Amino acid sequence: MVREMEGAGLPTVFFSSIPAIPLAFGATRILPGRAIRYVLGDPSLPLDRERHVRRRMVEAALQALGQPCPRPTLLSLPA
Amino acid sequence: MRLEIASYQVKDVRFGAATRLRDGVLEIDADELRRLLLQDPALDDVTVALARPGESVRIIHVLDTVEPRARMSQPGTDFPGHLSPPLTVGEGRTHRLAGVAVMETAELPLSLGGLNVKEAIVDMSGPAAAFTPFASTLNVVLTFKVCPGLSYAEYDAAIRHAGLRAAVHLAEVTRDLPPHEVETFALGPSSPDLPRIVYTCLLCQEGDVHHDFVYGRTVDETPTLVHPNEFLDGAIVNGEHHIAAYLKPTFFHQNHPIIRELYRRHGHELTFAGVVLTKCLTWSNFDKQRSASFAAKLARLLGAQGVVISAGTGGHAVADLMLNCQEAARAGLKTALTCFEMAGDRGDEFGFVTYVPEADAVVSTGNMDELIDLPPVERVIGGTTIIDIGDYEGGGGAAALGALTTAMRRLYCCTSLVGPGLMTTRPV
Amino acid sequence: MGTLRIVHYLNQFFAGVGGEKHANVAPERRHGAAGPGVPMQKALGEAAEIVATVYCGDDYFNVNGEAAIARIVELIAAEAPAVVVTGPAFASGRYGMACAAVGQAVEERLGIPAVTAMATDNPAVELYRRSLCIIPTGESVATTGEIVERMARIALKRGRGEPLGRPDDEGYLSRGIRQNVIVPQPAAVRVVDLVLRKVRGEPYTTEIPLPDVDPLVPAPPLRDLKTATIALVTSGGVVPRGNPDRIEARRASRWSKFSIAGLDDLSSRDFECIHGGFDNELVAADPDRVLPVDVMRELEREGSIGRLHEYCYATVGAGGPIERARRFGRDISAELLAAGVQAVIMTAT
Repeated sequence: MVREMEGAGLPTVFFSSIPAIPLAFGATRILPGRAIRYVLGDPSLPLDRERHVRRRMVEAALQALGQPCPRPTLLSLPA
Repeated sequence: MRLEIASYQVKDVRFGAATRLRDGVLEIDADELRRLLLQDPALDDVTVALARPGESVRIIHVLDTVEPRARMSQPGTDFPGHLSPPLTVGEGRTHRLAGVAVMETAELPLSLGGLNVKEAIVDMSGPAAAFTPFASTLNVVLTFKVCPGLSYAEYDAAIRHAGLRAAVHLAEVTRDLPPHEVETFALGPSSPDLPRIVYTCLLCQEGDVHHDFVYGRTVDETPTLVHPNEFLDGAIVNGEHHIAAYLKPTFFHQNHPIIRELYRRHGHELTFAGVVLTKCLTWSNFDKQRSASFAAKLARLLGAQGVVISAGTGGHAVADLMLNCQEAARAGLKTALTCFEMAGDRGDEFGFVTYVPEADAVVSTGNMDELIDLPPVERVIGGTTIIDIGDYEGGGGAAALGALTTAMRRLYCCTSLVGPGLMTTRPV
Repeated sequence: MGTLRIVHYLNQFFAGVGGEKHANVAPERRHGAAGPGVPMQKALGEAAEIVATVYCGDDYFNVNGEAAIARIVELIAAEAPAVVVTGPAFASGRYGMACAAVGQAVEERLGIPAVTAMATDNPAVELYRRSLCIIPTGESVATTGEIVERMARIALKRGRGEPLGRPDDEGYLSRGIRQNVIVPQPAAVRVVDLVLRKVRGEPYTTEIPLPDVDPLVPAPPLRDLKTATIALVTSGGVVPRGNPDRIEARRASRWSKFSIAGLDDLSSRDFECIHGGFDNELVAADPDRVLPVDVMRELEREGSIGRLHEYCYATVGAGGPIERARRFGRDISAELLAAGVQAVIMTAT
């Protein structure tokens, strides 16, 4: 899906908990989700800390949108 | 480890005054069997029915299927971790009733989280018979009614134990009889010039309806090694009741097609170097990668040049299969995989959930989305109505006696991932 | 068996009427074989007769669409053929489309089998290969001799109602359809055969070829985050409570569009997770775990991004086909672009 969006002119970032999948199917900017059951979350943390984790992941995504990405690439999240 | 399996060929099965094997006919005292199984207070009732190849019979709500086996050399060691202490098996002498399968059926309450028990159908005749391996076995079908008020896990365990108990009980008839055939399973010496092949078996665990048991515990995150005889002798028990088509019931661990094929060629075309067990359907990419890399390393430690990897189940477990393939390939091993296809009801969609470029040698066990028309039958065992959960499969809610059109995903084991089946796909 | 009747469809050039100048000639029929039909008739021998050749200018066909098809079908029907052959079109796009469209029309409207031929990268192939028997050709008309022989052979079979062999054996394009069949050896034996071939360095064939992924021209990266409008899309199945767009729990056939205007986050009171492919309890408890509205809204307020687009798009990705996912992607992009969205963050489980 996201490959078509990229092709239509919209830069995309794809959070996937199984990066092998978008890598095979051709999404460009791929960021690892945390787990299948909570892509951008962490239920082991209290809500404000979980939100902080989520925010840092989204910020990494927004940063990546500003970078060119010619090939499917698994990007890493900041530590 | 050296295992002798003595086979007793059964030509027919019927009810009788006593449970015994006479002239190739298995006679079953149904009341005795019922009493034995109803010792478990979780079970309210069990009925025993017989289904023979060619009969106009449909069996529904199938759970696990077990081949009647009893370990003769050491009493009280059957199905370790379930009926007996979790101690190593795979040596000594075990008897089997060949041509018979014990099937568990029950209408179970839906389990949690959207992962439900799916419908599983066996037709003993008609167009579906060619696609279900158990259309050619004499089936002793146990239909369970569970007592209300217990947890799903308790029902599941009670039914599983009852099926295993019934399998041992029936095989006991062979104790003092001469067998038709004795096969010996031992990894004897093999030329170092022959290619060393490892079999990596993906097993799963998730929620209540995906369980593969290894000596009574579900498989865990760190891959491990087993001797192939452990599969053949009851160490691996199935508790997966999700999509029927690609299941690997206990019967197919006892008669594991890939293990038997590797054994058959051991010393002639290849050296069967061992079996790696690894978990699939893990919830995070971290665990998927960790298990895949670890399993590849175990294969390397076994000196493998090639590895056969069987898919464990569907959904994102296909990602596990592919990652195992990728890690093994990166470790320098030649890989060949088994997997099912979800190619749409017209067969025109790419069949895999995902793939890796290294997956260039895959054997397809068939497209489970293809539709099949089942005719009406004279008798149904196991219930009255086809289960339908959501509109995913279509055809649900239909009366089981009547004609119905269903995706082949409801046909029990038609695309079984350990490879017993003759079904595959071809392009047209 | 009587002589099989065949009608051959050509464009104006191959029918010998003329070149590009005559591309707008209306459908016509003439008796017997013409152009490549002549060597085809030789290949058919006594077994079949090309009783008529129907031709139409490529431009005329292109412009008149249905009207042209209807007239061509009428002309063909009057000859009562057992099979219709169209082309070969080789690399010609307009002609290829016409050949394929005529072939399909004849099958659907007259119930007569059709056979066509064109280069594998002819645009008509992708559109018609599933429903039509297409013989692959190279680009060059120099191969006409071999091609018309193959067309003759396959046309005879189809005209007689004989089943065709496998695509590779018979010489036509696989329709991209896979059917379940029973084979002599179980999968367990086949997979051991396969691994041994690989280890020995022998040639091997996979039973499931991997798809070719066309090269993608990626979008230019986002220039200015602070003024950008960004949309959130997911295949994780988070939708408004009640699932008003009726998205299916697996292999969803459609997507849901819903407004998050005025919302600072997604609550389990107003949103639910209907994805049937995993244990979705944790996402249901806090849908921001899949559609991070809470965090995006914060960033919007701070001015780190221009705007969070007021609509979210959701579907369920469990077990869906590639073509459908592509279609969703195209449809959703069209809406997003029209709404002035400049980038997308997508999540999947």
